[in-house]
Amino acid sequence: MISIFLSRAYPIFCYFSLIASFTMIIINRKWNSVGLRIVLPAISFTILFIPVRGLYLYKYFYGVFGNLSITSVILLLSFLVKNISNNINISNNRQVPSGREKSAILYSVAVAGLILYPTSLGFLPVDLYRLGYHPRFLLILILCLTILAWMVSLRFAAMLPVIAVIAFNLNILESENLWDYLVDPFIVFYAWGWVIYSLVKTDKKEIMQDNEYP
Amino acid sequence: MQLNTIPSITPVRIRGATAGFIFLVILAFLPVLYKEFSYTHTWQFYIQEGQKSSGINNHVPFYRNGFIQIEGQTPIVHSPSVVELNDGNLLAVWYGGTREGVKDVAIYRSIWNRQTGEWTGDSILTGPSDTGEDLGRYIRKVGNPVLLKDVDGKIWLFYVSASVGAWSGSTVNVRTSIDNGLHWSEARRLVTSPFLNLSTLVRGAPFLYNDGSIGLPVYHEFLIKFGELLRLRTDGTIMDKVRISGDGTSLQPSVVPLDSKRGIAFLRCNSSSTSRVLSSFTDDGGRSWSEVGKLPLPNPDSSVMGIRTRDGSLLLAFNNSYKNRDNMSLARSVDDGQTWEVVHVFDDRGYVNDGNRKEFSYPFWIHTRDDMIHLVYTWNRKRIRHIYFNSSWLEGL
Repeated sequence: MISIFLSRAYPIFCYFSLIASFTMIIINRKWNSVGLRIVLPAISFTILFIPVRGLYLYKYFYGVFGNLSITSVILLLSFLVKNISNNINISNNRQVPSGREKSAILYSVAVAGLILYPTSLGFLPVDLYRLGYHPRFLLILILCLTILAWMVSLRFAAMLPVIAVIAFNLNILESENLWDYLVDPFIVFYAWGWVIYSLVKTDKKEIMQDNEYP
Repeated sequence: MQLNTIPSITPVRIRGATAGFIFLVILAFLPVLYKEFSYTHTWQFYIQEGQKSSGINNHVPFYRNGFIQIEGQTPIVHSPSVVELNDGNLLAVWYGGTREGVKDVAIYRSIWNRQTGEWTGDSILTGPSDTGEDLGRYIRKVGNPVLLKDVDGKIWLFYVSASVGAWSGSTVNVRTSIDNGLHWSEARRLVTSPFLNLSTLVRGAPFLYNDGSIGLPVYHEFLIKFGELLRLRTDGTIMDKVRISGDGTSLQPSVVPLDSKRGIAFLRCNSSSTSRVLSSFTDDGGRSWSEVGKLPLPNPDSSVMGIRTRDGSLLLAFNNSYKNRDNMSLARSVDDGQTWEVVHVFDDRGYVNDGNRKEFSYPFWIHTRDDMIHLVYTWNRKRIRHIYFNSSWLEGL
């Protein structure tokens, strides 16, 4: 029962967090208004239920893009919470996720996307998406990475796959494939962009340092 | 004082967090790992043997042709499928509307009465609106319905839908009926691709495995074309997915089990240089497939459909042309697809009044319990042709 309710509510949750995050980015750049940040979630939620030709707007998004992964939704929500509260802290004054954790998550997602999409779209003869329907090997791999992440104090990063697997157990997404709980094209493209940007930035920094100290 | 208390509190907090983490890890991973490791499935095709009925069906050559739906009911019709119901009648489905891919295109159905030999009760089975309502999303168009009856007599309808763009943006949906097609379950969407679930389409006839699970031949069209086999559990959830071919030009697989382990997939060829019916073989129940090869039969980039008769020969309904879909022909192989002979032409080339070529395409056939073979296909995009014949007629070719 809970699982059915969650699976029906999940698309609304996905596009609420996506639209609210996008508008939050715009607000952050244009206006530094605390009031706007607080009412923004309510506005975003309302936008989803604007009727267009007899259907709520979110149903068009859902029709075209489907569900976002659990990873995406948690990252978007953490971004929203951070921006609404301006500076949310947990113990040790750590931001959630920390810069190190963000790097770990986005590098992992970028690698996952890099192996998943070319294989599943037919560019290579193997299909790694298949592993997600019978995810015994994928689960063991994720379990190992999760434990490793926790051991090196990447706690937020470690919790993401745990929540994704719990959601997989509850069948919250319409997909029966574990990959869809872990990654989606939105976060993969974002991760690829972020990784490229980080690498270029690092290269530039190194070149500048080389020039400074010949 | 403060310096003394900090080290004693911190380890306790970390241990608490770690204990919580371990609890969540066990909660998350244990049930699904247990399920995964306790679950096995075998790859054995379900082969229906025998069941030949007595009477004229087996001894006197019998051949009849006609049409399914009322002429002009919709301006275009395409992609029919048929299934034998529990009472021996047939249920046929196809899609029709003002033109392909527009909002008013719906999946239509009709029932063939075995006693009277007539099709009646043409009506809409499902369309974009009710599919969208069931799926909680916007759906722009529907198409390519295929039918299956499982071992429990449940009728399965698989069809594609798309929210935007061309057919390559389609996904596969499923509905079931437990009362011979009178009432249908809500549509459910099969998620088969990690990239926005884009571009999985269905056209080939579904078939059964020995454990009651379903083999559903599908194909992928986005960027690269290839065939796939979905294996569905008895509740319709996806159990596995296998790629049939990866050469980038083959699509619309039609899988025909030869025995419990061996099978052949016939594929439409989308390459102008090849222009032949493509095939791939399996000897492990569809778990793996051989490289795609060419059959000595032409293919004008059009759907083909195979079937195995009870005497073990293979039949293939196809367009016997390199360029046009202007004939519907029958080829037969008695050596499991190694050699082929064209034995009959169901509908021949010709021109309609407006000077355009006729089109006979998208064949689909079934072997019924009374040993009749029923073939349906698109007739000039205006009507659905229905041809049925028995083994004696076939043997006389």
